[in-house]
Amino acid sequence: MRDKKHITGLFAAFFRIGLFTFGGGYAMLPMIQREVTEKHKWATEEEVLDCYAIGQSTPGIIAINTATFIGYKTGGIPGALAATLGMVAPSLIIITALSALILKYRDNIYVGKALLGIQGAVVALIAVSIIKMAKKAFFNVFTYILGALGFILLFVLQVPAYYIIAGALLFSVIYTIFKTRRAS
Amino acid sequence: MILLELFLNFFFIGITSIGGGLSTIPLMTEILISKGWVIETEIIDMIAISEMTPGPIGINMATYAGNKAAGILGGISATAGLVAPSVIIIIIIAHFYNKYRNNLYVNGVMTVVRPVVTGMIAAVCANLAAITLFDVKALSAGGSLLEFFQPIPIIIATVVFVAGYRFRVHPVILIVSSAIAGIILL
Repeated sequence: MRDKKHITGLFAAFFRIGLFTFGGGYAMLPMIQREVTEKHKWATEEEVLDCYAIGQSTPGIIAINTATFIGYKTGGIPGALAATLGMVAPSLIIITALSALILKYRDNIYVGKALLGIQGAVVALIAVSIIKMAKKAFFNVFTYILGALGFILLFVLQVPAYYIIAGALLFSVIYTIFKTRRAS
Repeated sequence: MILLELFLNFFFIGITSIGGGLSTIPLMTEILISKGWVIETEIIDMIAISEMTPGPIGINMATYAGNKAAGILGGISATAGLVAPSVIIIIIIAHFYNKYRNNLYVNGVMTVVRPVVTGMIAAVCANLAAITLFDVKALSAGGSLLEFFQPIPIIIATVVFVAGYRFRVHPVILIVSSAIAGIILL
């Protein structure tokens, strides 16, 4: 399968996924299922879902993790690179063009008003995402406390985000050791 | 050398973002503001553009920020930096796929880091709300309560929240209609 045609096929499939999905992560799942499992049969439904689980628990952007994983599984390292490049290319092209336009027209009164209107919407959209994430992240008192802690450390105490994430990672290791000790 | 600096900083953001979606936002905003690549009031424009254009939000934000800092090559460097950790780590994991699946430490990271990051995103959201929905500066300058609340952005945010959460209206439709509402009402 590791032929040239497959590599360009991977690039094209992930280019389409990147081009036609908004928001990344979960918003991409239906499109990835269509391209990867139904159209090309590169992976089974289960493998795609596993890939999501891995994508979520490893560092990095879920969409990229999925692209790299499927590319690697079906085409080795060249496949991984082709799929990832395909996923990234639409963003690079569109955002580069758009940010040039916005820089040019920022001082236009209508563009300014439109951006102000959008800002209110963005706050609300982030709030919607937070609720969706919270449903998965918070499942007992312990996780609620951790969430509250993350909020207070960043918003009230203004601890740098880097320290909070590093601290959380360290704590998760201690937590796992403690939990396995107690279980055994 | 700004290209290398962009690459390294976004590489770092890529490594520390766990859980997908908006999890890159807390650290990214912090780095962008401290480096002066994107000013604070522009962060929300960056998020808006990243939400309303196709592609993963994290990638869109990296491209936007890189572009603002150092033009087209800057956008490419930032994006490459953000993507590189994923590519390296996933290739390694894909190799040891089955062993990784049930790793206890992975579960531990999920249980602990995910809620913390969710809380941190809420903090960023609260900061953005303070800038756009409320005028904190007017209040501390001794302005009235009426000056503190920004009625039209608050109404837009409320409508978008209900439409997005209850009725699952697509974000692109919500952002475009808020832009139109802004032009008419503000």
